[in-house]
Amino acid sequence: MKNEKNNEITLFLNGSEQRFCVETDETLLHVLRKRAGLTGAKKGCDLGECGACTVILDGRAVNSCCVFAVQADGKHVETIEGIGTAEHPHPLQQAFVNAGAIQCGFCTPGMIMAAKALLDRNPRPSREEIRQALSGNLCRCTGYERIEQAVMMAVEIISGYAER
Amino acid sequence: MNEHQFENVNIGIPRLESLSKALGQAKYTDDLRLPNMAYAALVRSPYSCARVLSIDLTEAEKIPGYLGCLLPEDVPRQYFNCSGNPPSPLLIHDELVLTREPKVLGDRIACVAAETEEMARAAADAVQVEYEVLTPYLDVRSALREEAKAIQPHISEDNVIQYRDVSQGDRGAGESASDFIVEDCFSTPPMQHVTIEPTSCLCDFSDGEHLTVYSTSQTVFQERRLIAEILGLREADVRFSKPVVGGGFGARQQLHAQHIASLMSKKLHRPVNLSYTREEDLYSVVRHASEVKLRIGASRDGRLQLFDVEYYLNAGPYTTHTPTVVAAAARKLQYNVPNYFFQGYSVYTNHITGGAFRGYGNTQISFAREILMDRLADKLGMDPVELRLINHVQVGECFPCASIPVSSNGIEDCVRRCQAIQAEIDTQFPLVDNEEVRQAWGISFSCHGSGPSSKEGLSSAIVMLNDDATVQLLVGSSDIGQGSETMESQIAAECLGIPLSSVRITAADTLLTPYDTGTFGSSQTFICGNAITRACDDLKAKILAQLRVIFPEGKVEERANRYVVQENGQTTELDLAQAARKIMYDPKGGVMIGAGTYKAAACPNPFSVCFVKAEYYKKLNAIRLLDIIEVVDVGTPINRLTVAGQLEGGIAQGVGYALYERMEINPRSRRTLSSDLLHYRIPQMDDMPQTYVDMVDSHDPYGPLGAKSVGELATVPVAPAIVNAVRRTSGQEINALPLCDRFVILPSRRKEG
Amino acid sequence: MVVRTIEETLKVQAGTFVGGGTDLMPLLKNHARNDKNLVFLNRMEELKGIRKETDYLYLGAGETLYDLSVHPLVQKLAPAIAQAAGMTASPQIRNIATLGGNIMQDRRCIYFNQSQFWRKGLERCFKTGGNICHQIPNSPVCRAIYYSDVATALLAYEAEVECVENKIRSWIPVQKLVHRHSQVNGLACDCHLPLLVVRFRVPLPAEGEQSVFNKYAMRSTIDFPLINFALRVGGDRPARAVAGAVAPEPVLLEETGKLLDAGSDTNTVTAACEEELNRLALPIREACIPPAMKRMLYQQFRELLDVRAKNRM
Repeated sequence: MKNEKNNEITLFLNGSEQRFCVETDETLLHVLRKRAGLTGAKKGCDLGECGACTVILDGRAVNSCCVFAVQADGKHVETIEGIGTAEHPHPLQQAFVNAGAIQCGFCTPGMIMAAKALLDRNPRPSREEIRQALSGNLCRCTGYERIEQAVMMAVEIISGYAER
Repeated sequence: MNEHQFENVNIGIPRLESLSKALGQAKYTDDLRLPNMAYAALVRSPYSCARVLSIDLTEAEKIPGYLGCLLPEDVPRQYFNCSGNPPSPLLIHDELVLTREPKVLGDRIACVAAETEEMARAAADAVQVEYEVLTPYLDVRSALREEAKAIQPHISEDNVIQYRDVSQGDRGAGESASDFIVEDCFSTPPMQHVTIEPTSCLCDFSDGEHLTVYSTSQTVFQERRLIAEILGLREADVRFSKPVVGGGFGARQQLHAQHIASLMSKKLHRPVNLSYTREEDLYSVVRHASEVKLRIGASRDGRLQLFDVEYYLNAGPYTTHTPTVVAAAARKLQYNVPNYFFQGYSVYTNHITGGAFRGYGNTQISFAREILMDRLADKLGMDPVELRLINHVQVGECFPCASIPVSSNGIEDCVRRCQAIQAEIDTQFPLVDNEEVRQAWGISFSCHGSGPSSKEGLSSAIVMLNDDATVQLLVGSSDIGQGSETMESQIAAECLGIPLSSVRITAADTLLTPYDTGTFGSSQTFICGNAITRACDDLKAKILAQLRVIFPEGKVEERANRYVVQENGQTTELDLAQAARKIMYDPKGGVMIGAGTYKAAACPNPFSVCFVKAEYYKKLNAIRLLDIIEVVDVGTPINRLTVAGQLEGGIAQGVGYALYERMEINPRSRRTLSSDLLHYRIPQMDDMPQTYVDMVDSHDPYGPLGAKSVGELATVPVAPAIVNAVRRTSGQEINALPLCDRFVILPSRRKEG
Repeated sequence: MVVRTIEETLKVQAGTFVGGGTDLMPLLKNHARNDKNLVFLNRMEELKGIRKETDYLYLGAGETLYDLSVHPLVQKLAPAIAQAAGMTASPQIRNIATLGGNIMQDRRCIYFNQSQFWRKGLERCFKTGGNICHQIPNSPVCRAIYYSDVATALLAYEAEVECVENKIRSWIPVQKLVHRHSQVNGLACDCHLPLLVVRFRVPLPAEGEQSVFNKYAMRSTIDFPLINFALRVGGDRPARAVAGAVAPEPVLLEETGKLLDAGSDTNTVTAACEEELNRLALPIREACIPPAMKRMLYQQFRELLDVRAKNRM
């Protein structure tokens, strides 16, 4: 096998510093799912074409299946598991539930992470900006209508916090 | 309808499981880990038709972590049919677990296992297989040519798996009664389901006696039966347990690789995960490509006199569902016509195997019919909506060649609601027709059934009452993302008069839940829903009976989910919690378990109307979809949010089908080139036109709480409505999909500002 | 290996430089390429930076497409580059894909961008080390198409690129780099130009210069272009029109450029563009799109011509 040399990397994974030994050609998605046990990021195509594996790397949404783990060394990685809990879901997580934006749910973690990266950078996006930001995430169940509505709902919730 | 007042249904509520999905906690098959789990990968044929000459494992065995291999001679060799339908003579047995005579790209040759998924793939890639390459027949026409070789010689010499003739009336009478006859040939491409979760299974057969399978499954009980037959096990020793599933649409209405993964588990004495790559998933199953020759005749007043169709489905090399898909298509004509002739052909080819896909035969025939109905309307000088309405089957009448009368029909309300939304859109954005651009609307009707059209739907439910008036609901039906578990819980809550929060559901685990035919034929609401209403009635009757045992001198009645006991001149009223507690802890008490089964006696038709606004750029020969309206009669919508979601999702799949989805044949490589999600395109968020969905007030007398079905119905009318709109804008007659073959496709969204 | 300075890269023997890695990763997974020695550049500060200096706008090769697409200097001084970067691939990919990696991306073809499994049973093509082009079997060379959106824009500006090759640092026209890259890239894919792309420079626009980029793809995101165009007009240099995704490298539309300078009307310019592309483009079969449909798109150039109106205002 190629690239057998191990590399040690450090990730700030959902706020906690963690070290991993990885292969040179190993993906960030593989590290998350197989080494860190975080299965929220999904493998839908493994070629960067569906967005189901989207996580936030230093503030930016990326397809973790197309990021070399060694490139993520020293960076902050946010996954769906790190942004909310059952008691305190992230406004996007709650909005996706309430809007009926979740059917089979396999695209949902990636959708929410893509949306979070957008809202972190632009808390009041237009509908067009939402559609643009989420257009790298495929969904086969919903037809996207309710996903767009869910992000709009989350925008309202978050701007409500900001005004308080 | 005011006579039907509900607390827990006909409302829009979020799915019960959706928060766990939003939190990333929901476990899908490939998220499960068992101790000592190994990974398997399949060695597949890169040729569409070939013969294996030799298999050399030398290089594979050198891969670190390699654990073992199964070859065709190591596995059971009897033929089977992987379809997740109940047993039927139509389901011809012609598939093997592993084969030395691959008949399609991706056919299973061997299986290897290793310590990790990557090692297993590397080992599969390293297996050297020598082939004699043969000429494949990739379309129906070449497979039916006289000189074509038989693809499954033990089943068919001429590559016709089955011919089906369904007819009534007289062809000559129909022709002479028709003042106008329109006819044409239509073809639709093979479409892939593209569930976002790839197919996966985790099989534990470590002890060689008891098998547990966790897999992406729509039909756990059928898959249990099939695998028990293949492996020579008794069904009681096989457990199929469905984790959270990331979509199905028909693709998981069959066995995939659970058989070989189970055999590998037995060989290794370890649990085995076998998960498909996206590419493997794309080649696993498709909606059948079709060739449809259709003639429709009508008298001058617009009444249909003749409907004459030849219907060819490209089955691929294995029968799987094909003859049942053909049979389902034969009884989906929602217009009255005295002379009806349906001739259906299931044809073997070497293209990707056709299977179940949302619409199940209805999609292909509705495509041809609704386009030709528009051309007929033009010939007659009639409005296309009114032509359809005057011919539409009414309550009490049967579809041509069908035996059960239509029991509810809100099609006219659907039309009027579509027209109201259309008028609002056109007021805001009047239709454009100038030198560069022309806009127009196209329409289509559709129908479906509620449950398998063969009436083989069968479901059951168990409701167990707890002493605090919560209930455990057990059903065999699979929620694959469409929301059936929430809907089933709502029906139980409504029937028992308890809040939804008091219902806990367990579904689709053959160890824990009672039999259900499976999630297909849009049957969960109607078939499983009816089983649940019966189980709830049974529970209520048992409560009443037990209270009568406890109060032998008294009079016990149920009034509006409260139990009234009149004894010794005293009246006591018990709510369900009080009754439950009394029954469970009384010296003469008992455990309250309601059970119900429902064998599909009816199959009510839901109806749909779809309007599409499109525009055509004359110089560029380009089209853009602007708005899509779909309004349906689904009886009582149990969960309005879910129904709306099903409609919107069905529209998106229809848009993809119409515009660019196709497993594309590549002549040079003699195989499909649609191998990933760039070569096979499905619509993205920014590609969808504006959609509007609604449901009309309706109540079916046979449905649970008046409900019919929605899942498949939603997608059927979309592609023909799009084509009818494009036809009116472009002035071009269209006979085939996808439209990207003929037109430049422009991204759909209206840009704001 | 992760490198931090140009000096470190000079020591690399037979390595593959990786920018964001989004183009390379799927090729490695599909075993279309089997590069052994990956050299990660994302820690090299020298590849970062977007700066305006006296005569040029400088763009670091390690800048991401997203950063280029939103940077005020790029939007103002080289809008076609910002537009092209913003229309490439998907938001997730633009967030990590780099300018250098985008220019050095592999050419693509339905017979090459396939899994190892799919390609089994087909003869090796030029790009996988064989001797045939499956697209055009009698072609002496690989006909895979170069799909970069940003390259089309850079060529419209006559941008230059600073490279390190044979330990020598020098500026060359981007067009020349893309031409050489395209030629080598049509051979066995593991061979690639042994050079490091450091940064790009775009001449600052003269008074009255307008420029614009447009791309047509079947869907709004992810898809590679079916065709793209960049146009620069006005100012003190001759106009330049470029079309991409129609050949192994971007196509310069010289006649079209002359007509633009002559102030010809939209129909005349569009017709000239179609005529030039019919002559110079080398379309091949793509998924869902036969060459004939692609030719229909040549007239999409018309969409860019409104930019000229800005000059007259």
